[in-house]
Amino acid sequence: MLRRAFAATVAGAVLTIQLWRLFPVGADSMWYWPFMDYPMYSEPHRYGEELVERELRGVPCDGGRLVALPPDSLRAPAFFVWSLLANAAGASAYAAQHPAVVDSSRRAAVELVRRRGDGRYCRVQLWARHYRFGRSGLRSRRPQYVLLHDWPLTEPGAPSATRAAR
Amino acid sequence: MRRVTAALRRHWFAPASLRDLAIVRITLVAAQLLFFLPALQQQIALTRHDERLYVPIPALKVLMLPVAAWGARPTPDLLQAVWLLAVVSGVMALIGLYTRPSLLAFAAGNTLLTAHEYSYGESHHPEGLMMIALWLLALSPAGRASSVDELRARLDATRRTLTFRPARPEDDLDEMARWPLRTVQWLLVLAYLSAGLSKLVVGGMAWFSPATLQYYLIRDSLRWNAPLGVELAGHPVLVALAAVGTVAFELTFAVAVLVPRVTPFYLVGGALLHTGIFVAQHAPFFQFIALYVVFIRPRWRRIRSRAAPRPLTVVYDGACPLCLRTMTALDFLDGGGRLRYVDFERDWETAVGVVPGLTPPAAREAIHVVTPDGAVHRGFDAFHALARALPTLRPAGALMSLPPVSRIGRAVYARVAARRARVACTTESCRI
Repeated sequence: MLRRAFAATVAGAVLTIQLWRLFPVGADSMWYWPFMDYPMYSEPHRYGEELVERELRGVPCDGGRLVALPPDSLRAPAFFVWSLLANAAGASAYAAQHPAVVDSSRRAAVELVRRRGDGRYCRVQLWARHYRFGRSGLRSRRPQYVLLHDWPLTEPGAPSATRAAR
Repeated sequence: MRRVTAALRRHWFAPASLRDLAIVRITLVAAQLLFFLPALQQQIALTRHDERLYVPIPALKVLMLPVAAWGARPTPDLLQAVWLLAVVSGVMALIGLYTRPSLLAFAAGNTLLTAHEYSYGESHHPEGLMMIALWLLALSPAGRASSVDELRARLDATRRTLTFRPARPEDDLDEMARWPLRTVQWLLVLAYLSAGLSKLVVGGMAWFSPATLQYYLIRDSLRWNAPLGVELAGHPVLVALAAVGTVAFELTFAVAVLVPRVTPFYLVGGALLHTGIFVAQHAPFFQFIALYVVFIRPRWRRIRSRAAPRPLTVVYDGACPLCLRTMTALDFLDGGGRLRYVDFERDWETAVGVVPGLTPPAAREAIHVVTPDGAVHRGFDAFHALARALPTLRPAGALMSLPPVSRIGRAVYARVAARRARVACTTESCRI
């Protein structure tokens, strides 16, 4: 009887917490992990939207060729870097609502390259390429990367020193 | 009200097979150990991330408390120790050695490592349910069957009582064997429900436009270099059907729990769905597929009983403690119920019936095994016949076929049989 009461309490508690985590629907909070909700892929999208790939590139101090800096090379989680770059580009909905996020994300991106670049880079650039898709799928398979921003690395991420590239 | 309570009790606590619970333990622990255990290298790499990126989630803070201050960041040495603990305890939980503490250590180690991975601003969804399932198994009687613990308990009982009793089907049933499986089943229902509801609430009807799934297919394909996603995105009708099918599956998964007849269809559908998502988008939800093991007991049982081969009969000396322990071990290894046992000291008539011409001195000298074709094997050859017949002993059977091994085996058997102790015989047949 006692064993059954214990089991019922554990099962009830586990399912209640999991049920409680379902609301509000779409919140996507990891705070109570391993109890969590599952709102992946729930945002709707429509034709005409753009898919953007962003990439940081380091400009070597010795005048060598630009070096692509994927999240691995910056020793930072991929999703973290992608989200940082979206904010730094001012492209995320969150950044649009909070202009200060754009500035602090740029500082963070610069700082990340400054710390992990081991002094090899004097500038860091944010590049992006835009994909378009329609009813029949992807329209452009290999669009060109475009330079969005170019920031110096000499001072730790001073936003005043950043300039938008043309 | 009483009927509802009774139905709930049946749903959660109707006697269920301990062996099935053990299969769930073995499957989930093996899957976690082999495929899902956080990589040590990645864990160490995380400790090199910028301090400012470290935002510990509460699960990590709680699990770190015994060894560090609240919110402290794990050191590489600690992570290495936890990883090692997870591997060792996982192997122990797999074979069922000190199963409960092993499962607790395995669940704690894996939860800590995964929580650490999620404390740097990046998190994923596949691992959560697996962690909860491991904790639930640790609180259940998952080590009572198909485990070293079971063997030890049965050998202890044999040693204490000086009797051998083959396991009966009713020994396998326990009212505490069902609730952990049910809990994981309902956790899967809630996870899928969350995914389905999010698409309806956040996305609304716009979610069912092919554009939504096309967008995700293309985005993930580009991110993870999975060209099939881009190809699939070029077929809007297929994409629209996949969108409707996915949401229907997610919202109705409870049917898989409530209507056992349709469970296999949901499991196959779910396995295809997750495999398809992985192939097209590189989003690995294989933990969910592993967790499906909590559903599939009845079918396994039916398949096994249909294929049950004919039995072998073992004639043993019930007055010899070593023989009793050997029979206990054989019965443990005989998962398919292939062996029948005859204690010739208690049941001489039956013994002579299955081994014609058997004499009491010959019976006391060596174990006898009668195979389904009527052939009688004795001593080392009897064990060899058993090893060939029982799936769990087949590797040993192959080894015993080697001439040097069989020669040594016969000598060792004769020596042990001659020196084994016998208890005072008190049964009728002892006078034979």
